[in-house]
Amino acid sequence: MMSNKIETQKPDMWTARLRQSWQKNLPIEKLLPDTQPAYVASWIYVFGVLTLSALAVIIASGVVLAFEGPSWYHISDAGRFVNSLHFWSVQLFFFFMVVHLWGKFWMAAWRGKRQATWITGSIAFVVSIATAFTGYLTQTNFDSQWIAFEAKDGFNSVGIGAWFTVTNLGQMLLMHVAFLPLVLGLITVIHVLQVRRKGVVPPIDAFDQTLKGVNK
Amino acid sequence: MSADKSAIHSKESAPWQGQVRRYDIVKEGVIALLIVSLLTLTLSIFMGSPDEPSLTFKGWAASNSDNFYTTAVQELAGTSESAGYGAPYNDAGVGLNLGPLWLQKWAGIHHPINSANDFVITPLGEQQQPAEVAAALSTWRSAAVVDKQRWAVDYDAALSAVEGKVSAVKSGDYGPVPTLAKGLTAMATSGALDGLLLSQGGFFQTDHTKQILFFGDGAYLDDAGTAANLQGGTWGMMNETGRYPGQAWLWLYSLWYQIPPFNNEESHPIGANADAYILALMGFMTLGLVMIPFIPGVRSLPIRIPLHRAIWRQYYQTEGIGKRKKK
Amino acid sequence: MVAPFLYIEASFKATSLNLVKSESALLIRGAKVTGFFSEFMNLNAVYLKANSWLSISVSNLVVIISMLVIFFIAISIPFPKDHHESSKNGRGQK
Repeated sequence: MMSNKIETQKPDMWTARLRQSWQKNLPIEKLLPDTQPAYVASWIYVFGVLTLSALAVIIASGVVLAFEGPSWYHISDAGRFVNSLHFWSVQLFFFFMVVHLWGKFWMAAWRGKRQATWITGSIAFVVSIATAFTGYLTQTNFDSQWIAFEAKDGFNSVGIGAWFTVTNLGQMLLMHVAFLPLVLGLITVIHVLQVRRKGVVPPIDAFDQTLKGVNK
Repeated sequence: MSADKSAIHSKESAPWQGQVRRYDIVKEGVIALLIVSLLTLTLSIFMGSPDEPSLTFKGWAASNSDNFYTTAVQELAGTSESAGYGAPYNDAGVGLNLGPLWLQKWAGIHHPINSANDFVITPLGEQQQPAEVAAALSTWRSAAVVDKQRWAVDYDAALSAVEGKVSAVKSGDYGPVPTLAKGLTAMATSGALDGLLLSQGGFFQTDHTKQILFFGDGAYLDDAGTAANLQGGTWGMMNETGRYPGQAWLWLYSLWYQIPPFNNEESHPIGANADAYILALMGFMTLGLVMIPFIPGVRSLPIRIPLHRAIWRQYYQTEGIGKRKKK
Repeated sequence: MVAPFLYIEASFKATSLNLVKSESALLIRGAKVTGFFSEFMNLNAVYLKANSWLSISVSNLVVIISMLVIFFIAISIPFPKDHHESSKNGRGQK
């Protein structure tokens, strides 16, 4: 009884601290809410979850492509179809993500200590571009030959090309299917948890008393 | 005023205390996933996806054997793009710079490429050759560097003089160079060069740097890029083969290549080092995007331009929150 | 009844890429293109050009305009009202 109380008041265990901080910042009610503030009433709010859904389709179709290897889709009808799923889910992913980004910009969604949400979101955008780029390089077709030839000069010009070799199919393939998805997945998880933790940003001027009751 | 601002700021960061509405996050997620899956499925069923077959050395030699031949001579003469590239392939060029920063050079040679040996001599030596090619090969190998240089450079110049028309070239002392180029063209035409360059002496091979560079030295890849509208100078970075949408999200990166001074190789220092300056600029702008919440002026744009009145109009109406007065 | 999706023989445009026919035949090795309109989608793209330097493929333009249109639709059309009227500060999380 006594020791229990001491532990909850002043946890000296890492595990206990992590649990307490987690419970404080991100209780399950925040993680899986069944209500939202009344102002969350616009279609613009659906573009985040649409982006996540597109990412899920990308990963699912990508896993199937990865099972058979990068050249499979050249010679198999089924492969070509899965490749199409991968291609279009990427197009949709960027489509939804850009609309989501515009929406969050025009809401100034970083207000109220939500800067980290904006930062992780925009980093996710940049990592997505890098991931898509390595995907284009691993198509093993004319497009990849061309992109590798053109892009090498850009990376070489600032020295990055010495280590990030766009003409090296093996390296690009591993970046595309292992490293970059891992990074993107991690940032996405952090981004979504930030949103759940901080809540959806209130409307601009929601708390400005001087505008209250001012007609239109 | 600043007290007001900080009060507003702390309310914006505090948990919401006002009206709420029902919101089923799991249902929303499932419906969104279904919609996106259906959309993807529909687009795939109707549109398919792009897949232009890759180019081959065989195709190059067969469609434009003079160009292949001339490129092989340039590899021997050291006048090709790859031969004079610099880091990370060789030390023949200084590379691009960002003012005083010679990052390309400083990064060093990480993928050593000797265009003459890697693209011409070694592939020729790895296959049984006709007697005249074998003889030319051994002449080349035992010749002094100055002789090799003289033969190849002279022949390259003679070819340039007749715009690469091999049959029209003036006769002269070109040593074994014409025979070597002819031998390599024959190898390429037969398809043997594709296999040889791919294996590069090993069984497994996952790095295509050499093939890509050799390809880029000639006109074949470049012509194909032009035909497919993929050239960087005409927004090609955003484009895709066929009628498919491309990487439209690269529009800003692509934009710089269209405008001065970036689009003029003759303009110093920026145009001549466009790749480096544009990459640095994009890095800087990307940092700007990430840091928008901290950039005065930019971060208040969405407050000044009231698109938010549309987004939250239900709320503003119910709560009777009026518009800001224009300053 | 049509098949769920058509298989159309690859309509690889040898001429546009300046390739010899034999090569495309060799490389395709029986690969087929899926999609009802894939033959159309693999034709040469149409580019819109304004002044001397602006050029965009119709496909990219469609994507970019659609994004703008969808964005403005999303912020303009009414979102369904919540029919389960909730009480003030009735934070359902609790």
